[in-house]
Amino acid sequence: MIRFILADLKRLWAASLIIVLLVALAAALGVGITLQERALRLGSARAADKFDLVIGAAGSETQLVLSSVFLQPAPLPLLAGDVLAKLKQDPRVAFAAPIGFGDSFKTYPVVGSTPDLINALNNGAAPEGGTPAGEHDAVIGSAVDLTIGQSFEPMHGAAGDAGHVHTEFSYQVVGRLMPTGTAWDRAIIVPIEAVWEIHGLHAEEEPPGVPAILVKPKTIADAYRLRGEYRGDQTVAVFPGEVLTRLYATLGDARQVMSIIALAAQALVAGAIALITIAHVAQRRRQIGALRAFGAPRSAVFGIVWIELLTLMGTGIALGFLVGWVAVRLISDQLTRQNGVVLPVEFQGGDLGLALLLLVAAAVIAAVPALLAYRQPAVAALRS
Amino acid sequence: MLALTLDQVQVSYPGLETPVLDIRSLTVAAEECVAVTGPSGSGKTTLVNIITGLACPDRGRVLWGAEDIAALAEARRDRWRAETIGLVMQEFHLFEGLSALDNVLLPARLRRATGRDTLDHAHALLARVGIKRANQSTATLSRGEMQRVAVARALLRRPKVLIADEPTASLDPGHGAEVAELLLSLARESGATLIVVSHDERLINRMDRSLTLSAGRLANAAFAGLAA
Ligand SMILES: Nc1ncnc2c1ncn2[C@@H]1O[C@H](COP(=O)(O)OP(=O)(O)O)[C@@H](O)[C@H]1O
Ligand SMILES: [Mg+2]
Repeated sequence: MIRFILADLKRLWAASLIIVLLVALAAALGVGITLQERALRLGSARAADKFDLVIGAAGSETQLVLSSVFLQPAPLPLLAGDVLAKLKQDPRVAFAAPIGFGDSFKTYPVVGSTPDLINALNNGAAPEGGTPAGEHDAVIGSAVDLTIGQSFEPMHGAAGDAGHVHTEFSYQVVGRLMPTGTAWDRAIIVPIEAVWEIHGLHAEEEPPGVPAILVKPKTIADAYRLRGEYRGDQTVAVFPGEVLTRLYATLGDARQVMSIIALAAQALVAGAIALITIAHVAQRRRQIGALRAFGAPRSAVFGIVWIELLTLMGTGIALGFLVGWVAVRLISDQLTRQNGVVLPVEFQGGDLGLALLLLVAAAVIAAVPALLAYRQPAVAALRS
Repeated sequence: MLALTLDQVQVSYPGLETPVLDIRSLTVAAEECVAVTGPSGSGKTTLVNIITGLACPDRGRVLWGAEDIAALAEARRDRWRAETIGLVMQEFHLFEGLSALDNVLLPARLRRATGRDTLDHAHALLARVGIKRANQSTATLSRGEMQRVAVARALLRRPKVLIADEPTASLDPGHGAEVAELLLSLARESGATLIVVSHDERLINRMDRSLTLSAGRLANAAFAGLAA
């Protein structure tokens, strides 16, 4: 029986291929949406991991998170200069590090900050090469294409903007951070004082404002208290993880729409396959009649058609999972190259349920033409 | 082995005024070799369908031995046919992609009716019908060889009855004669009752008797006396 089925599939290879590809396409669509959404969610949750509490000037909370966690370039309003100093004095704060945007080098954002931030990003370890000491010392993220010891002049404006080059000021790379799988892998971190100086602000007179401050509270209770205090008319305080969750609720709706589209596509494919296979059984009436005439039982005829179709659709489902995974992998790698956030593309236990569900659906769909074949009268073989 | 008795058998199709098959009475003795002739459309294939149990008559009894196969349920009839009848058709219905041997074995395998000696028997049959390489792919066989494989397939389960519907009609005369010879001698060797639909004079002449169908009715010499 197995040999007959294989020979039969080989004989009908074109139709078989179409069925496999259609099923693979439908499965890949569903799997792709699930995996991509999961990759985005996990990847950005990991990216926000080290950012307990971010404080900025009153404005969009979402933009504050996108700018500080994902280094998305956008003009942020500045915090009053005394906020950073006040936070640094606060006994509930383990450290408070400014995040100053505005310059770039090639496609890498140049971010002004303090050693506390470098420590946090590098899990407390010293950067490879050395710790920055002077105003011209820069530390680079793992994905920055510079070598330790190299010098560069920052450009005013975000990466890709047509800004002018600050020829009057140059940095030297003194250290490199470990890979974090976040946007910060593409960042060049320089002393915040240097950023102020380049832009003509002088810390001695009056502390200049910064767009965002990363705060590490000592306890969870402190985190909530600090957030409460800094949520006001002048400042916003956010837990990035929470903002992301909110963002995903919105994205979740988009995902739902996509899922419905995928489901509709899958239903169309199921319908197309039902039609193809029913037509196919009609074409095979003589072959099926002959099998019966020579002594094959009806159950064998049902089994042959059912197993053939289930084999094809099962192959299609497996292929679809593979194609879906590869596609999401490629998309995610491209996204990682663009903004540094590593998106984990992985299957979870629940996906097995999806595979089983698809297989059950395939088994039911395959049963329709199999039943038709089962009911095919045996005389068909002798009529010409 | 098995004798055939048809009793008041009629097959009609809706929209046709006269039945396509109408046989009051017909007996074929066990181990007899009978030819069935008649013009195209006279009901020969319909008769084959009825006596093989592929189809049921609208009325009448189809007795093989004491068993009325027209009264059997479909699954029972299928099993009875698989165990009792060896069938050869004008078209060979061999399955491409399977070897000659696998084609011979396929119906028995699908019915899970292969015993310990089945494989040996299949090899012996293929040798007997002159197929030298049992594993040769069906696609590379000549038409004459294909029909000989079909004859071997029909004989695998040692049927009590061998029925062929125009087995040589799609072969050139030389190959046709070979196949006709095989059918006759294999039926005689195994003691099977043989019924062959054919226009081939040489084959008809070598049978014990020949029946002629005309518009669904028997019009042979045996019944001429009754009509007179
Ligand atoms: N399924 C069918 N529906 C209507 N008429 C049929 C059907 N099958 C056969 N016939 C008719 O029955 C008659 C006998 O057919 P058949 O037994 O195949 O003839 P033969 O084999 O002698 O050429 C023909 O007139 C044919 O057209
Ligand atoms: Mg015919």
